[in-house]
Amino acid sequence: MSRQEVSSTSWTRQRYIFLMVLMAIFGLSWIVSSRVPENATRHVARAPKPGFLAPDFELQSLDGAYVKLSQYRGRPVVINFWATWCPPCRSEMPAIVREYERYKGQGLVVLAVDNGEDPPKVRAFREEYGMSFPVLLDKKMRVAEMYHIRALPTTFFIAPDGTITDMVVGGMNKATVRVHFQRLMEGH
Amino acid sequence: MMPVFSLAGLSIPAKPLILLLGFYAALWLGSKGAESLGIDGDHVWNGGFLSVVGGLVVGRLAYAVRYPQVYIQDPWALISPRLSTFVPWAAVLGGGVFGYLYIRHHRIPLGRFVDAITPALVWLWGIVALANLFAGDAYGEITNVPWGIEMWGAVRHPTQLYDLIGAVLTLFWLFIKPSPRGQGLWGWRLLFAYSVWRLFTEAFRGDSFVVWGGYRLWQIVALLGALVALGALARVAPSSRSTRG
Repeated sequence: MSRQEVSSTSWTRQRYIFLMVLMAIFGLSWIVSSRVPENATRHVARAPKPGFLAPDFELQSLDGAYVKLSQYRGRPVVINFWATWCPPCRSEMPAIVREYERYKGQGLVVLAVDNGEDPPKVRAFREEYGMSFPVLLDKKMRVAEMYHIRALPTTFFIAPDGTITDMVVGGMNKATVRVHFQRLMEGH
Repeated sequence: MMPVFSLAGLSIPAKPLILLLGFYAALWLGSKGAESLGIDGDHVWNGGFLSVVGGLVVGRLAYAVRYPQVYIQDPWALISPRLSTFVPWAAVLGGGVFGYLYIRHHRIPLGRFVDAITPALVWLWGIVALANLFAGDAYGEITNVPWGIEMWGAVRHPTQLYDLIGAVLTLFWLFIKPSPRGQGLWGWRLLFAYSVWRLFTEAFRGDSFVVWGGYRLWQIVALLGALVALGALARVAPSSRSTRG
């Protein structure tokens, strides 16, 4: 930019320098006074968004048992919202199954939440894809509503402390699935 | 939360779509501004698209560098349109570098170019604020001020609206008290206005990136931005002696 003085600027150099000093003083004071307190609990609220605690829910699994999200506190959890009629859900499921098999020994939990379909259809899908993790039936799509699901599949990655670390709307390819699972297991 | 559109098997959240349309409008605005300063408007379109492509490539490569074994096994994933596998800051940085190289390559004076696109940059500031408001991103701290808005299970500071107000005020300031165009002054004034506004409103954000000691990183960056902008404006301002003379 030009070093040439701009004569039509109404402010003089001295006034700008004075403003710089004021800016530095007030800016630093504002930064210090608006620090986040060390004991602040910033994301105690539950919301379906990265940075917040995952909303708790209880659903019946395909096997008839009731599964509650909070029972897995202390373990990394992946919640995958899906349906049998959804092509991207079908295409990403083998990669999810593979990553689950890779990490289940390290405590990983995968909860596959089906959106409002009949158990026989869901069971056939589970057999076809060899899903050994809990498949939950969200018959009235109450949990989908709680998690603001607008597209299938949608996947949430939840840290052991219950905080959502990542969220992917839409289907994931093999690399994306692998990277997100790895990130979760590494504690990113 | 904003709706999600499905296109050819891809789920596209409305936020990136709004940003894309807003960016397109910004390029149009920028090209008109460029022409008013004697720069071919095509340079804004070409530079803008090069920045986007460069930003996407750098953002994806930065992601791949963090997980090399995954991308070595599946190199096609490098060109996947998935929006979740980018490093956003690297994409912004890469886009800026590509834009700068384009300007240098075509020997366009930087100050004149920046002044030409400044109104378009203010427009983008407003569009990002609006997209964040609808998507619930860049949300505020929990508050009990009467103008708080319900978001993510609590009443919060409407920080996205604060940003929108900042963009509108900045636009008024730039046009009501205009400085000479073509020497970079508009760009420095925008940097000053944005930095001061961010320094102030970041304190009300509920998703600030906090560094050691509880300090909000973007406040520190904003203060530096404001000081750099004032320094640049001071360099080109007349000294009091020459004003008297």
